[in-house]
Amino acid sequence: MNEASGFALSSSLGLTLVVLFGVAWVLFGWYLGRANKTHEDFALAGRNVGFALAAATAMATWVTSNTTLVAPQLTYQLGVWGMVGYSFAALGLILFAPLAARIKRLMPHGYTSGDFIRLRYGRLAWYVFIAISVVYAFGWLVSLGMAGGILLEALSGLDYHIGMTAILIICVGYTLFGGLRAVIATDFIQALIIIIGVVLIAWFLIDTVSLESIHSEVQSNHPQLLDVLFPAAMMFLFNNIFFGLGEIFHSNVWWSRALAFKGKVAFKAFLLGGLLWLPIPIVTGFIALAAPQLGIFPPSADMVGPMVAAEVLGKVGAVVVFIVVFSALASSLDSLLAATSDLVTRDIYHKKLRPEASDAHLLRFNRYSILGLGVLTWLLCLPQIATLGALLNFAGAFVASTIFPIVLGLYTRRLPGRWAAAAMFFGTVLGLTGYFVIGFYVAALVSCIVSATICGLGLSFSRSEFNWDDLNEAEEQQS
Amino acid sequence: MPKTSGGSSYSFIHIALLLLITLLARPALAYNDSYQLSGPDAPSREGYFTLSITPAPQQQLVLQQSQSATFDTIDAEFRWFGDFEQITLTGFTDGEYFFRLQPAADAAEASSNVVKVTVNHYPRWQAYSLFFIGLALFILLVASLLILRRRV
Repeated sequence: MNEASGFALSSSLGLTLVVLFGVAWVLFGWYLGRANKTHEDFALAGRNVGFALAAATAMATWVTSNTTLVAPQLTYQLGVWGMVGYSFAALGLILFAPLAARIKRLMPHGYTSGDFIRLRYGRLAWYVFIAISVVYAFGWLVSLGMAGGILLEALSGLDYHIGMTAILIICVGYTLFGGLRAVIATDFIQALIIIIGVVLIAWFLIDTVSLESIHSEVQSNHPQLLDVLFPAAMMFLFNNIFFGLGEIFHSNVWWSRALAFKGKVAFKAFLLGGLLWLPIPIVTGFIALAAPQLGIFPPSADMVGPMVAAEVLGKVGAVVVFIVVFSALASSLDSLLAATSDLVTRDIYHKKLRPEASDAHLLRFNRYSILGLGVLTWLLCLPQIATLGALLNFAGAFVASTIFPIVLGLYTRRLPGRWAAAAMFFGTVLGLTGYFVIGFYVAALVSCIVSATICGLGLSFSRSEFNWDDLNEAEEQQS
Repeated sequence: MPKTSGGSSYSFIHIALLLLITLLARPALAYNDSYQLSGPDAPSREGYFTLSITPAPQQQLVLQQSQSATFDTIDAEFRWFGDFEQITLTGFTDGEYFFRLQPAADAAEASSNVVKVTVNHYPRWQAYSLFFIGLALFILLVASLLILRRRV
């Protein structure tokens, strides 16, 4: 296909942008990575991240394929509720703010969310939690890799596999060189690009296609999208909120940030990050409502955002869209690579296999983990097995089961490990059952209800009291 | 009369060959004019669905929508994007919808079979139930957070 067939960019321009973008980020990652001397520097940026960088990384990491591709997808599918409902995922960051402050206070020298589960709840709960974390991390990594491929295909007609491979090589490259320091610094720049870019796109869209004409077209030919009592959208709303809460509460992406932020920065940073994030899905989702008015009916619903923006803004606009979405994807992919490799290095390799490993050895292993995760993600992305929305909703059954065990584990002494393990295990199993038997819109909701019920029973029956000091274990590491 | 009979069979073979040659000699483009359109097997519960065609389009196509199988009135038309083999349509209320393809330049002749899609949204009671269960659980979570945070 060429531009005459409807693509905003030629394949060669799309490829050139990817190469330029990739070289710039990898060089920046290498430059920042020179300051990393220890594993703690690499994994937690020296635990010294200030407020501006902290708020920017919280916001930018949460702006991902979810907000730039899936929010328009859900708006295209579920209408106004899809757009508004998606913005409620900001509640995840906002409600994590007090948890982050608590995490920093309870575990000033902690490394990962896995550390907390192991020390607070014991081995059994840790096994369940690690299984959930791995499934979720790969679900998200694969969705991000896929989103890179979909983006390039939608804008330039370039083969899906080329875009997907490119974004993985770029993110693995600069995370490998720079660690969390590079991830947070690039997130700051990417956050600025995302905010400016999204505002520009919305401005041009309203200027080109009036709000009245969009409303009139949708009301005439796609009336369900404006129905405030749209059944599927109502069912989706709280499922999406619990999915977002589960994602943030359990994931080491957010725990590693809480632990890396300086002093009492965590609470304010997550709160501001959430508030900054809140309007972004509204803007990106609104773009999808203009699709019918512009005569755009995408092959796949997750392609609607970039296609509309490229149609309205032309070639220059397509370049802007490309940079914004690529920044959004990169800001999440790098964070996830860093956080998951920390989990593998710290929780599995160091704590289970090589407790005597030296700091230099762990640093080296952490880099190998990033590389390995990148290769595995690439292999899983090769067959484009599902739409982004479907892939993400599947993971909802897993992560929503962790919400109550995490909250109660951080604030109460009474919930024992076996009850927490049962809550996560049965929450996930019944959430998945709901996903397959009823539909995607109940997976996270069922999972969270079951988990909350089991946690409630655990609190009622248990008389044991956890000692908070047990969360600070002595390091066995050799220098 | 065997000769005549033989001549008759030769004529039949000639006619058959001629037909075969004519059939095979149709320009390649003529095959591309005919597309196989397919839709979802089950009714759509969310008001959106995907239609597919084979082979991939070689020309600009328009998808026509009607509420009758004979397309007496065309309710809407959708431009097929590029050479993709799928299109996703959205925002449909309960009902039965019929679709067919036409070349953008020639609106007189259909280029595909007709596909019927049924939209049947989830019942309201199911939507309200899940909504209020979700709301109650969310209130429980926020209340727990606020209460527990004050206690520590």
